Amino acid sequence: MSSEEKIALLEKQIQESQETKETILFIVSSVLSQNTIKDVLWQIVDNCIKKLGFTDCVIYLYQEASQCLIQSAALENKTISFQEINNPIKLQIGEGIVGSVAQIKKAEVVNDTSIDPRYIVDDASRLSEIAVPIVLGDKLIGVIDSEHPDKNFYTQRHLEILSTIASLCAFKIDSLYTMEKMQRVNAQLRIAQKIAQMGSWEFHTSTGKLHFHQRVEDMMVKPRPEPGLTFDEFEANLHPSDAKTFRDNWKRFVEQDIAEPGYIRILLNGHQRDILWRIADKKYIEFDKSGIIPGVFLDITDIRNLEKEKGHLVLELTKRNQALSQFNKIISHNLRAPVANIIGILQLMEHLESEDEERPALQQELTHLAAGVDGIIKDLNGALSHNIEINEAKSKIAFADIFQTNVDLLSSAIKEVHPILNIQCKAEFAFGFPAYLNSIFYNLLANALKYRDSNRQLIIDIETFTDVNHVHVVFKDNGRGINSSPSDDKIFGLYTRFHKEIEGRGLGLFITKQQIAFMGGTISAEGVEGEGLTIRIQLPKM
Amino acid sequence: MIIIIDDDPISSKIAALSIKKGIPDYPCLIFNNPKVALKDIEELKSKEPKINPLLLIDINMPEMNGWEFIEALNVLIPESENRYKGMILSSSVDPADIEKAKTYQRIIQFLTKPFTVETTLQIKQYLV
Repeated sequence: MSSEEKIALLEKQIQESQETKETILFIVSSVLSQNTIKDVLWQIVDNCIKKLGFTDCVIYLYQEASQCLIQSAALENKTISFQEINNPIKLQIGEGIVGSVAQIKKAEVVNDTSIDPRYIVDDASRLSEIAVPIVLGDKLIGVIDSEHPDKNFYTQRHLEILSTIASLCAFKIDSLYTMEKMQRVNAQLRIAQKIAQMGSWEFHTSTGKLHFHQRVEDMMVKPRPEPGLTFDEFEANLHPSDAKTFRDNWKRFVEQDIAEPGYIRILLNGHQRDILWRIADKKYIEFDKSGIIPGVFLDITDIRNLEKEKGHLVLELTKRNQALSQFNKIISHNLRAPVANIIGILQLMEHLESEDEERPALQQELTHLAAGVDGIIKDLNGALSHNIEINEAKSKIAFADIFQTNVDLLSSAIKEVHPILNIQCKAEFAFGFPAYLNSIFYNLLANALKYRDSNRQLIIDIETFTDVNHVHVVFKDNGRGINSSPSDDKIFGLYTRFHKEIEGRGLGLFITKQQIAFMGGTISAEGVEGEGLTIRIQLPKM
Repeated sequence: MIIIIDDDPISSKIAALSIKKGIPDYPCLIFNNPKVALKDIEELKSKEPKINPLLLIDINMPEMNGWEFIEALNVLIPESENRYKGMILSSSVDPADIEKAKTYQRIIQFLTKPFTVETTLQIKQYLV
C-alpha cells in the first residue's frame, strides 16, 4: 500500500469515526429527550433503521416479575408508522441469541445464523444478527436486537454504535423506571390521603412559605399570586383562638425539635374544617439539608360531626328513657296504690257483716278510688299518646293558635269562671312538638282555672318574647298560689299536691316539665301563697 | 301493738280494720304523718319501756318517705336493741325496693298492699 493510499485509508477511517460519533450523538440526544420508556424505545428502533440502514430492529425489555424478555418495540424498514405490538414475543433468559446475550450480558454479532444452533426463526429466516444487552451496572434492562437477510451484514462500527446507545439509554430507561414507580407511589399516596381525608404540606425555609395541595391553597387565598402561603396568610384562615396554638406548636418544633400533633380549625371556602396537623418527626426524614420541612394534616371534621351526632343521640335516648321510667313509676306506684286499696276494701268487706257500720264509708271510698283510677288512666293515656307522636318532627307553631285551641278545649270552665285573659305575643312562634306544646298550655290554663282564688276575679297574663337563643313564655295568674322560688322545683314533682281540697292528681305539671325538658327547654315557678303563681318557660328557638 | 305509718288514710284504714277483724281487740295505732309518728314513738318508748310494737311502714310518703323514717328511727332506737321491728307495707312491687328492705336489720318482711285479714293471720307469729 502506497503512502497516498495509507493516508486515504486513514482519512476514510477518521471520516467514518467522525460519522460514527455524529450518528451516536444524534441518536442519543434524540433518545434522551423522550419522557416515557415507550418513546425512548421507539426512538431507538426508528433511528437504527434510518441512520444505520438496518432492515429491522427489536428491543426486548427484561421483566423482573416473570424473569422474561418481552418484545417492547419492533420496527421493520417496510413499516412506515409505529405500531402497537399485539402479541409481544416472550423469551426466556438463555433462549435464542437474544436470550443468550441477556444471560451473559455481552453484545454479540452472528455473521451466519444458519450455522448457529441458537438461532430462532421469527417471521422470516435471516442470515446475520446483532444483539446488544442494555445493562446498568449488573442490572439487566433489556436487549437491542437486529437481523439482516445477508450474511456478514453487521460491522464492528454497528456494534460500537449500538453498545454506546445501549449503555447511555440504560441510564435513561432506569431513571424513567424510577420515575414511573414514583408516579405510581405518588398516585397511591394521593388516593390513600383522599380516602383517609388526609393531605400533606411542606414548609420551605428559603421562602418562609407553607405549601399545601394547590386545591387547598386555592380555597384559602383567592386570588393567589404565587404558590405557597405565608404564615400570616395561613393564619388568616384559622379560627381566631387557634392561631396561637399553631404558632406555639411551630415554635416548639423550631426551638425544641418537638413535633407534636396540633388541633386547628381552618376556614376553607367559608366552611370550618377541623384539622389535626402534624410536622414530620425528624426520625422519619432528614430535612435540614433540603430546607423543606414536610408534614401531614388530617381532616377530622366528619369524624367530629359524627361524634357530636352520636352524643346528641345518646342524650335524646337518655331523655326518652328517663321519661319512660317516670311513666313506669306512675304506673307502678300511682296506679298500683289505688288499685291495691280497691282490692283491700273489697276483701275487707267480705269479712264485714252486712249491717257493719263501716260498710257505707268503705263503699263511698270505693266509688272515690275507682274515679281516681279512671282519672290517672286518662292522664297517662294523654301523656303516653303524646310520647308516641314525638316521632314527628319539631315544627314552628303559632302561639295564637296554641292558646286558641286550648281556650276552646276548656271553654266550659272558662264560661263558668270568666277569667280576664291578657295575651301578649311578642314572640309569634314556638318551636317544638305540636302535641307537647298544646298539652303544656292546656295544663297551665287548666291549673290556673282550677286553682283560682274564688274571692277575686281571676286574671291570667300570658306574655311571649324572644332573646338570642330562646323563646320565653311567662304565664302569670292571681290564683291561690304556693310559696315557690324559681330554683324550687317541688311543684313539678311527681304526684305532688298542694291544694288537697281541690280535686287533682299531681301529674299535670310533672308531665309538663317532662315535655319541656324533652324539647330542650326549662320551666320554673315563682309564687306566694294566696297571691298567685308565675310560670316561666324557656324553649330553644330552633 | 301494731303501729301503722302510712300517709294514705284509706290504705291505713283498710289495714287497721283488717287487723281488727283478724285479731279482735288487738291494739293498733295509725299515723298518717311519719314525723308525728317518730315523735310519738320516742315518747311511747320512754313512757312504756317494756312495750315492743310491730311497725307497718309505707315507702311512698311526702315529706319523709319510708326509708327516711327507718333511718330516723334507727337513731332513736338502734337496730341492735332488737325492738320495734318493722315490716314494709307498700303498693310498690319494685324489685329495687324489695332489695333495699333487705339491707335493714329492723325490717323482717316486705308486704305488698292491700293489707288483708289473711295478712293479719300471716304476721300473727311476730306479735307479742
